[in-house]
Amino acid sequence: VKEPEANALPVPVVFVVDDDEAVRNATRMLLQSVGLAVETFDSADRFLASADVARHGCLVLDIRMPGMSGLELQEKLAARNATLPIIFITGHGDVPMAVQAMRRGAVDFLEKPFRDQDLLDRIQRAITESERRMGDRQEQARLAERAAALTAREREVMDLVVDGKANKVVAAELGLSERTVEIHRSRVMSKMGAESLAELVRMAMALR
Amino acid sequence: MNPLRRHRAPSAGERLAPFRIVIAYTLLGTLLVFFNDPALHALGLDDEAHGPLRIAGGLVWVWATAALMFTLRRRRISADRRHESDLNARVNQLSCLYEVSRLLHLPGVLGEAALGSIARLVANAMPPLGRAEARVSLDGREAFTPGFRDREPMVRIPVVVRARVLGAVEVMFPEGPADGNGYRGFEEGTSLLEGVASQLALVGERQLAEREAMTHRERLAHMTRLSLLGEMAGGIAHEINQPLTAIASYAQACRRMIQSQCGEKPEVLDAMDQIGAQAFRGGEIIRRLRGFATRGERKRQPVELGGLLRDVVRLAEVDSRLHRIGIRLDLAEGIPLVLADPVQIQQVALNLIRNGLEAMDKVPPEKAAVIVRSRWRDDNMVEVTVEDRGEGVPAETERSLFLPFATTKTSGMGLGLSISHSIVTSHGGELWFTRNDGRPGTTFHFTIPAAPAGAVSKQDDGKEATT
Repeated sequence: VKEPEANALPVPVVFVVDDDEAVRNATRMLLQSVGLAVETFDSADRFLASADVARHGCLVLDIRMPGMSGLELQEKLAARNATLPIIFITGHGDVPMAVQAMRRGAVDFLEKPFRDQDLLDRIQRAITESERRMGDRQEQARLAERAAALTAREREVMDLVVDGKANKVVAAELGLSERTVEIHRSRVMSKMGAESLAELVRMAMALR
Repeated sequence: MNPLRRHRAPSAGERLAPFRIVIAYTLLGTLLVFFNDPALHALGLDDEAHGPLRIAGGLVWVWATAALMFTLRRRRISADRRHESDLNARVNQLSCLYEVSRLLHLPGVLGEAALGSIARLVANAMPPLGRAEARVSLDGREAFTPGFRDREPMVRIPVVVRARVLGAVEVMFPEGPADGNGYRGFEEGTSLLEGVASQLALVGERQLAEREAMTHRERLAHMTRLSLLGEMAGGIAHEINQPLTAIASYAQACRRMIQSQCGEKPEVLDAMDQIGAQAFRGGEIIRRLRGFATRGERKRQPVELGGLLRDVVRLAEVDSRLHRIGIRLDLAEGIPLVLADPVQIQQVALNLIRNGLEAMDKVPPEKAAVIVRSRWRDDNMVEVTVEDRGEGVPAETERSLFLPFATTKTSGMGLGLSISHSIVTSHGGELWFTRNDGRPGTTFHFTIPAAPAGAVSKQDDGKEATT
C-alpha cells in the first residue's frame, strides 16, 4: 500500500457497508491485517448518515441489503456529487445488478466468496482512482479559481478559441479587431497558466 | 338384552314343564280306572267277574292315549325349539353383520380393537354350528377371540382386494361342530363369514385407496418442495456464500497477521473462533435445507410448532433479503405440541410466507412486512396466521386460489396453495384467508390439531419438548 503522497492527500480509508455482521467483521479484519484504515457500517442508511463521503478512499459495498440497497446508495452518492470509488460485492446470480452498477460508474465488482488478493488489488486500484479523482477535483477547483479571474470578454474569447476558431473568425464574431483578440488571448493563456493552445483546450474541457 | 348370549342347558323342571297336561292326564286317568269301579257297579254295568280285566283295559287305554299325547307334544316342542334356535341364530347373524358394518364404517384405519370386536361378533354368531372361536385379519393387522388356536381352521374365507389376499376371516370349533344341524346350518355360517369378508374387503379397498392418495400427496408435496427450493436457489446460494465469504476473509486475515506478526495473538484467536462459528452457520443452513428436501414419508408425530416456524422463517429470509422485507415472528406462549408431519407443515408455512413476500413486490420496503403468528384455540386446534401488507387477493382469482396450476405469478407451477390446502386438510385442519381489516393486505390462516396432552416431541435436532 502506497504511503500518502506529499501533495497532502489524507490517509485513504476503506468504508465497508454490509448487513452481515460476520462478513463485515471478517472484511475489516482482513483489511486491517494489511494496514488499511477501515470503517464499517451495517446499513446504507447508517453510512449516509455518519460517513464523510468526501474523504479519500473507497467504498466496499454489498449490493443486496435489506432497507436501502447498494444500488440505491450508489445513486444517492452520485446525487451528492461524491467521488468515492465503489467496489460492489455481489452474490451468486447478481450479475445483472452488477452490470447496472458498473454502468453507473462503479469501479469494480467482486463475487462472494472472494480471494483476499482480489479484494486487495481492487481496493488498491480504487484508491488510485480516488487519488486521481481527488487530484482532478483539486485541479478543477484551481482552474475554476483561475477562470473566475477572467473578464467577460476574455471568457468569450477563450470559449471561441477552444472551439478551434481562428483569431480572424473570433474577431469577426465578437466585432473586435484581430489585434485586440490576440491581446485577450494571450491574457487568457497567462491567467489560466496554459503553455499551449492544447493545454487551454484541456482546461476548458475540464471546466465544462 | 344381549341377543348374542350363549345357550345354557335347561334344568330338569324346565324340561318337564311342557308335558304338564300329559302327566296330569295320565295320573288322573289311572286314578279313575282304579277308583271308578263302584260307580260303574251302581250303573249296573258292573260285572264282578270282569273287574280286574276292566281295570287292566282301562289302564291300557289311558296309558296308550297318554303315550300318543306325549309323542305329539314332544314333536311339537322340538319343532318350536328348532324354530326358536333358528330365529336366535338369525338374530345373532344379523346383529353380527349389522355390528360389523357399523364398525367398518368408522373413519380411518381399522385398528386391532375393531378387528377384535369383529372376531367376537363372528364367534358369537356361530353357535348353531357349535362353540366357535374366530380370527380376523386385514392389511397386516389381526385379532382373535381368546380361545382361538392356530391349528387348521375349520372355515377360512379370504379377504380379497384387487385380486390380492389382504386378510381372512377364520373360524374354528374347539369342540367340533354341533350335531343335528347338518349341512344347511354350515352353509349359512359360511355365507355369514363370506358377508363379513366382503365387507372387510371394502374396508381394505378404502384403506388402500387412502394410502395411495397419501403417497401421491406426499410425492407431490415433495416435488413441490424441491421446486420451491429450486426457485430459491439464488437466495440459498447467497445465504451459504455469506459464511463462506466470512471464513475466507478471516482465514486470510489470520494468515497475514501470523506472517507479518503484526496482529495480536487474541485477535488471531478471535478470528479462528469466528471461522469455526461461521462454518457452523453454514452447516445450519444446509441442515435446514436438507430437512426441507427430504422425502418426508414420516408419520404424524407430536412436534413443537415454534421450532418449526423459527426454522421456516430462517429459510424464508433467503427470500426476504431479496425482497428486502422483514419477517416478524410472533409466537404465543404455552402452545401445545401439534400432531403433524413437520416437513409438510414447514412447507405450508414457507409457501404462505413466500406468497406474502411476493404480494408486496410493489410495496415500498419500509411499508412491507410479513408477520407470522401462532395461537391456541378453544377447539384444541393451533392456528397459524401469515399476514402481509400486499395488494390483497384480486376478486377474480379468489375462487381459483386453492386450485392447482391457477397461478398469477411468472415463476412457479401454481401448486403452492393447492398442495398447502391438501396438506392442511389431510392433517385434519383448515386453510383459508381473510382480507386485513382497516389496512392493506391479506392474512392466510391454517389450523393443525394439538397432540394429545403429555405427548413428547421427537424432532430431528434431538431437542425434546413436552406439553
